[in-house]
Amino acid sequence: MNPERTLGEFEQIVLLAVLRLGDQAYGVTILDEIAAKTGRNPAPGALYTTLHRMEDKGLVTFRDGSPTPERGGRAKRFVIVTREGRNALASAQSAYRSLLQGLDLLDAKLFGGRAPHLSILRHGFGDAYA
Amino acid sequence: MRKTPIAEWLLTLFAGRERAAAIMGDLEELAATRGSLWFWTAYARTLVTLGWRTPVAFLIAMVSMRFIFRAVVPLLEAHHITHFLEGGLFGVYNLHVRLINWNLTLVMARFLIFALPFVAVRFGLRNRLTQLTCALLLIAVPVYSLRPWVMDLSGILIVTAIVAALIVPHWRRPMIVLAATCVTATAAVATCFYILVGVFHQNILIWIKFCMWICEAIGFALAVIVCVYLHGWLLERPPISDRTIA
Repeated sequence: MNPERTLGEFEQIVLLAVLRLGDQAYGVTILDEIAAKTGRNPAPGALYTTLHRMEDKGLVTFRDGSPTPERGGRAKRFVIVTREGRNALASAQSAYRSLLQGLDLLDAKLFGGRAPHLSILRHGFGDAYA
Repeated sequence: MRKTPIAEWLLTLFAGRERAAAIMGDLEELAATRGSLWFWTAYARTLVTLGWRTPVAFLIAMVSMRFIFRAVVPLLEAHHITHFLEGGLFGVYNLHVRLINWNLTLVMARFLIFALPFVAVRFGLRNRLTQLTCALLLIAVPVYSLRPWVMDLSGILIVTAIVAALIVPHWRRPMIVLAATCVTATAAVATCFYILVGVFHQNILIWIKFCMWICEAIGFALAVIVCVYLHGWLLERPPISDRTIA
């Protein structure tokens, strides 16, 4: 297996949301977490496609929960980040950090003389960089 | 609670049973606060997101096959039929071996001309099934030169490549998927053609192109279902040992 996997932006967001949620990460909670923390409302289809792709890459795995009546008797499928997933995420985040090093995102000169709105920093880069 | 067995079955075709059940459960749970309209809209979008590649890949493969047989194959076939009388690699006294060899290679080549664009669009260029299909097509396609020694050589190489792929563990599963798809396509096209010949037996020469088109569309559509199913079963799941939980 390739130890240095590259991750897309949405893959990173999903992996971070799963890690934040711990053992309660499944479709509904992941969508809610992403909406709460990034201000985005991803389509469920986009989330499932990403999760399936990451499962095929070995970045996440799944654990079946017990069936519940509000889900029509269907079981929750909890997402677990694998060691490969964690490594790939750490590698991607470290690349972001090193690129950000020495940059002041509030510096107006970087944006053609106009300082960015704070909400862009909060929603565009996530809490880690706000 | 909605009764959605058909919707779930349709999703199962593209996502597998476990994934489909989980997705339907999530949508059901989310729809409790968002309503039925949201549920069906989200379901339709999810279905399209998960399933668009298969029909699009099928259409591209059918169109590109037509293009290749109209534009590329005639270039290879620009030789006289009298070449068939040459000895080739098997000699003039082994006609039955040559005919079996040629038929096998021609059937493989026709199938692979369809299969390569399909698997390339459906599974991507880095997929092992795509790489194997591409290699076999490169070996098989010279059969359309209609030169006996090239056809013989192409046939020998394709059989060798298939046997080698079945022996080497890395290529065994893609080869099984490809072989099962090829057998399905060939059997379905032949059966369909046999039925249509019975239907149009009075005017079969007039309808022959239409019959072939219909047979290939049905046969390759069935083959696509087999291919996607077997790919999901044999090639998509990484071994448990590769998935280490952090």
